[in-house]
Amino acid sequence: MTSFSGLTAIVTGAAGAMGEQEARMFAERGANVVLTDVRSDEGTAIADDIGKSAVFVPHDVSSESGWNTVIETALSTFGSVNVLVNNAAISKAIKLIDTDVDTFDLFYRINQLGVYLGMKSVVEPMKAAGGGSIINISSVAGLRGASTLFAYSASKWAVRGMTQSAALELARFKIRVNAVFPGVIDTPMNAPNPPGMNDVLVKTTPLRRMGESHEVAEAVLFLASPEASFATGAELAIDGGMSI
Amino acid sequence: MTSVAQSRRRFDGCVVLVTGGTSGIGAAAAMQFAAEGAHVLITGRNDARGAEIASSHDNVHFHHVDVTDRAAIDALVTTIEATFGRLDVVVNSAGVVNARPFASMSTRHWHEMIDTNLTGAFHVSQSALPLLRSTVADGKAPSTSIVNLSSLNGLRVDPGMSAYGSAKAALIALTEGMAVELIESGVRVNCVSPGAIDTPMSSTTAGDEQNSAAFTSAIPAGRYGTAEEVSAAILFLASQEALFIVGANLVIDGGATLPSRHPDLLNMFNMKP
Repeated sequence: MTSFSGLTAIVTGAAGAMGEQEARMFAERGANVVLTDVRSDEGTAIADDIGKSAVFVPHDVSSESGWNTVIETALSTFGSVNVLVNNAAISKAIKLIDTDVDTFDLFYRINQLGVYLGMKSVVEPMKAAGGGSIINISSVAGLRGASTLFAYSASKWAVRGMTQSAALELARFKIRVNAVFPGVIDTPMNAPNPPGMNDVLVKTTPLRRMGESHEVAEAVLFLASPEASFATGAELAIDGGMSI
Repeated sequence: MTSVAQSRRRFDGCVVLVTGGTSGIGAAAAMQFAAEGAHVLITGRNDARGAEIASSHDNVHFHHVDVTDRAAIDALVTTIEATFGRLDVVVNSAGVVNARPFASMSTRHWHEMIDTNLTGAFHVSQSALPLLRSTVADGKAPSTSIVNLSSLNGLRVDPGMSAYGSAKAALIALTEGMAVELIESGVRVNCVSPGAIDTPMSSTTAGDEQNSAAFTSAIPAGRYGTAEEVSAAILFLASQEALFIVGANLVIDGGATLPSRHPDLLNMFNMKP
């Protein structure tokens, strides 16, 4: 398998199922990993379990000063920043007519502002490293409409747009920016969905099952790796065919 | 990178058919599949090149097949079934490209672009389908896979490429159509869309050095891609690492499809690579 030996990856939302999986697989393949999340106990436990090649930073992705701490920790602990996975996000089923401004703003701050701040924060350290790779986690709701996920969908379309523009701007620094678009993945984030919603989502997935966190992580690691060295601005759906 | 990648064995014992496998991206994919343990059958129309590629690895075999010839394809699939009893991956990389102004394009040119680039993938995929399905049904693999090779021109058509672009855009549609129907029987269908890649085929459009420099400056990554960079994506999508990826189109173009067509804007902000 592709080795990330000597490289450092930052994974946000690393106390969640997908982020944890990504962090663990980066570490398994030789990377140093900076795990960040607002859930400190869970994040610390995962980093401790991974071992010496992992460090946890308590971090709200919508805080600019929080990002400074993340970058400083990565550089002081491991010496470089080579990969960023903007994985942290919130999700909740709310329709347009039920979405108030505070709710919309919260989705904006975590799912959109957080991704922007993350990308901006790693530009200088990645330039210093001679290049890097950013993977933004969007969603099928960032490829198609989603009638029950209004604010979430808006924020995930924003991730898609930011990915393309950032890829264009940062190509000259050999920083690649790609996005993945998971469909319904079997994680605790989908557990609070209204009764029956997950069944409907599986029925609308041609593969007729939920995806697993490691299936998203494999695609993230592929795009992060030197094997994907000519991929930038790419959009990879990992959705069992749901967005077709 | 390459040596590390080649130490993987994702396709041990698998059987892989690569159309247009005698040069460029198809040949690179064939060699990578073989390096990871697969038996690889490559097709093409150039016997000398086919023999040359096949001679470079024990597990790569050349068959002279034109993908517009359904009977020849059916015969090859019958041979694969008799020889190996399974088929894990089909890579539809057979393609031809020529630039023609739309106003003066001949009917013959139109058919040439559509027949090889689009209809060929239809024939090969449909012919191979029973064997791809039975490989899953017999429990030999968790999924089998078709990977179609579209193009940047399937997403955003360059001048002179209206026929080629039409074929390649339709190939993306064909990918989606096959994907939703075939996943039920465990056959995953995905697409890779390369941009400007340094292959014999691209030299026919890039032409002389001056043209080539103009091409390169339009690629945000500032360079052509390599056939290996495309085949790495093909192998990933074909592998069991991509089990939840169905109907996807992975663009490998160094960002070439991202900008609007305003090179002046890039100059204004000094954003050339």
